[in-house]
Amino acid sequence: MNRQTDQHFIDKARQGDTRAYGVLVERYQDYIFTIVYRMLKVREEAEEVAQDAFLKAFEALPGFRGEAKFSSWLYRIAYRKALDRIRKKGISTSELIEEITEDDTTRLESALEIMLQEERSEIIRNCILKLPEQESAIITLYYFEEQSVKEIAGVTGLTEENIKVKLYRSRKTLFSLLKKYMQAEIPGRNGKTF
Amino acid sequence: MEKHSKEEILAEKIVKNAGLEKPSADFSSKVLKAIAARQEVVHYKPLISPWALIVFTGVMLAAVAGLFWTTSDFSFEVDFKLINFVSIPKLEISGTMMYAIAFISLFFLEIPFLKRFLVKQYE
Repeated sequence: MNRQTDQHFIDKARQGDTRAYGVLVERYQDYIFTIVYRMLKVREEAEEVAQDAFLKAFEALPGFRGEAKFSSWLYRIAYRKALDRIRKKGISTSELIEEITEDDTTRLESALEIMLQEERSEIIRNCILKLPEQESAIITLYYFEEQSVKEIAGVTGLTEENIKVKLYRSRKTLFSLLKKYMQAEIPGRNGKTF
Repeated sequence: MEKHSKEEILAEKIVKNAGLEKPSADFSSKVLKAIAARQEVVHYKPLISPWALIVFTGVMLAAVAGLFWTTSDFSFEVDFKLINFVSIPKLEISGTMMYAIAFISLFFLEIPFLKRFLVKQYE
């Protein structure tokens, strides 16, 4: 994202220009929605919380000093809003981690490669949704948004060590979920089995 | 934490493959509508201005003082005996009137609590 242009719209939005803020919303809505949806697991609810986060961000805009990236600042607001909702609802997901060997990783990679792009994305999305709330957000921020561990610590309020542990766990859980899926859905595809 | 292990490279590939989720088409317009609605909210302004309240309180106090003046035999002209000043006018109030006054007092006592409750709701 271009921080320079973000700043231009931020300045305008601060002066009450809602159209300028609309540009920022359109620019970041998919990113914010993805994080919130992967945490809450329910599309409608995620949309409501993401909207709430953008509303809160608009009101808090005068306090944004630009010390962190605008996207990180938005993520922090959205992440906390989603966590609040989770706490209110008392949702909690946990998945058992199966042992993943290096061989499994190689097989998983080739099994995913033979799939059609759309089918592959769909399966991965479903598996990410099955990850525990915080872990699905952290894995998305780290691998998709390419945020550093330090930046993620700023967003989530967790320590860097804790983020590293959660990243490790979420990676293992994701592989394990994908492995389970492959075993159940496509045994013997292309002559290979898990 | 650099992404150099085989596992990490695969994880990155997988997560990137999942892509982004998309909210509904009118997401941004909904956000902007919510912002506009929030901006239209009229900020709380007391119905009675502080000055009007001071005048009203003054009038009420003057009326009570006037009533006290007319019903007691206190007079500046006569003397300043303390006993005269503290003498309370004998008022005969019926039981029903007493209850009415008590209920009205309770009602007025309730107002600050109700006000605080409402203000909290709109915060």
